[in-house]
Parts: sequence; structure tokens; C-alpha cells
Amino acid sequence: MNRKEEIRKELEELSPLLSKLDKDNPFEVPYGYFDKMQREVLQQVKEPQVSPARPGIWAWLFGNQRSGRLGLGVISLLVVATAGFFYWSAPNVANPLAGSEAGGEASWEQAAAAYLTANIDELDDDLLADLVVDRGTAEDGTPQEGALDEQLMEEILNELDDLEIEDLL
Amino acid sequence: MSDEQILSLIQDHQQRERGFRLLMEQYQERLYWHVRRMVVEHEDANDVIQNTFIKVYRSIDRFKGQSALYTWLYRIATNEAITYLNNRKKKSTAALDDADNNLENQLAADDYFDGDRAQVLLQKALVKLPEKQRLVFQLRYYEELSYQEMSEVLDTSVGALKSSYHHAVKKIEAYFRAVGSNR
Repeated sequence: MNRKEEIRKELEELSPLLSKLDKDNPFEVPYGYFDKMQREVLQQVKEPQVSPARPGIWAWLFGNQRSGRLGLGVISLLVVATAGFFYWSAPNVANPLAGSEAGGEASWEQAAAAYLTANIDELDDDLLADLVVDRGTAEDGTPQEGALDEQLMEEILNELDDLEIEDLL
Repeated sequence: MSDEQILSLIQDHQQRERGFRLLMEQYQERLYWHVRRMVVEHEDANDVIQNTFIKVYRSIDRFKGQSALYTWLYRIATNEAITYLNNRKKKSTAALDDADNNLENQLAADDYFDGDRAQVLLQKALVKLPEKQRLVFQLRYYEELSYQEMSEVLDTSVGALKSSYHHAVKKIEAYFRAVGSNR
């Protein structure tokens, strides 16, 4: 028994009424439909598939009002984080020789004194004089800020007292 | 041309388009009528069948020949049609029209539907069936697939398919008798 006959017999057993119906197709299609459909399908499969472009970072951040707020927040965070990074990781410009806050001052002065001692002949006298004037001299001979100002002024005044007014003119 | 010959043409890059054209010529009408009975309207069937063939074209390389080519094609077409019907159900307002009434209205309004009275009654009875029973009845009654083939298409056991077909036939007969007794 072929399949067609098997199916007919099965239906006949289940519903003699239905098995007597003709299997006419009540639906129709427009004239030339299948050729047209074939052409349309082939045209569609031949067109290169364009994958939807992924939105760029700016579109993602500012694509709409909601993401715009998110974008501003992200950018603000980035600015703060970048500024913080540079602030905390930058070397101490004001005192480049200082290794740490504690003891930094002493080590800086020791290094400076050692440098001056070693290079005293090569230093510019005027600059050295300025430094001495600025910092003065402490009891141990190291420069001390302001200590020499009054002494120098006194010496200059004494010398001026000894000069005749004609010598100055 | 056999399915194997068509498939070997499709696998050859140079012959791919020719092979696919032959595949469509071979199966487009059977698949179209299967889809058309499911979605009823021609325009809907056209959308579904085009999507089906596009999907077939893009996934034919994954066809391993574990089932017959036409059961694989029926499976894709059926899934496309079910997805289409489900999307349409979601869009239609449940309060205004349920899916079955919607199909029945489409049947009445379809310009490309011209059956005799018995065929009109059969189609009206079909659109009142639950979707799965309708599918099973169509594949058995119109497409004349074996239960094993239907099992591959619908991923359902042969026993469940036989039961669905039995119920579908009984419901259609009951519809005919109800309409006949009202005349």
C-alpha cells in the first residue's frame, strides 16, 4: 500500500465524511507569482549583507538624552581621575631633591653644601653673594636667612661715614 | 534533478546560484501552499516564503543531510510561519479579535480564495483548530507526509502526532455536522 492510499484509508476510518471531500486547493496566487518571488529572493540573497553599524563611543555616550547624561558623567569622572593621577604621581617640583617630607630638608641642605664645597671655584661670585645675602650665616658657618642683612648694612654705613662728601661727588 | 545534485551544485561556489534556483523551482510551490494554509493571506504567505528561502540560502552549508532535504525545508518554513503568526497575535488587540477569528475574517476577505462550499467549510474549520493540530492535519492531509517525516519537521513524537491528527479530524467533522444541522 502506498502512502497516499494509506493516508486515505486512515482518514476513512476516522471520518468517512471528510474522506469523501475532494482535496481541491481553494487558494490562488497572482499570475506569474512564483517566477517573481524567485527573482526577488535571488536579488535579496545576492545583495551583500550589511551588518548594522555598531554605534561609536560618541553615539553610545550622547545618542539620546539619557545616554547624554551618562556621557557627561563619564567624562567628568575621567577628567577628575586624570587630574588626580597627575597630581599624586608628579614629582615634587618645589623640592626635587627631597626623598620624603621627614628629613628632606636636612638632606637637601647637606647635598647643597657638598655641591658648593666641591664646585666653589666654578660658581658665579655674584650669585653666591646673593645666596649669602638671602640666607645669612648660621653659627656653624652654613648660610642662615637674614643673619647677614643687618651686619652688611652696618659695614656699609660705617664705610659711608668714613668717606668725605667730596669723594662721593 | 535529485536533492543530492542540487546540494552539490550549491556547495560549488561557482554554481551556487544555479543550484539554489533549482532548489526553489523544486520546492517553492509545495512550501508556499503549506505556508499559505497556515497564514491564509497571500501577502503574508509571500513574506514568510521569501524569509524562508533567504534563511535556507544562508544556512544551507549547515545542512548535514541527517534528514531529507524537503523535511528540513518544511521545518524552516513551518518555524517561519509559526513565528509570523505569533508576532501577528502579539500585535492584534486581544479584546478586539482573537487569532482564529482574525484568520477566518482574512479567509472571507482574501481575493485569492475561491473554493466551493465544502472547501470553504474545511478552511473555516481548520482556522478554528489549535495551531499544532492544524499543522499536523495540513502536513498529513495535504502534504501527505509520513508520521516519521512529520516528527522530523515538528520535533514531536509519532504517537503525539497520531493523536493530534485524530483529534483534528474529529473536530473538523464536528464542525461540518454543526454547520449542516444549522442549515
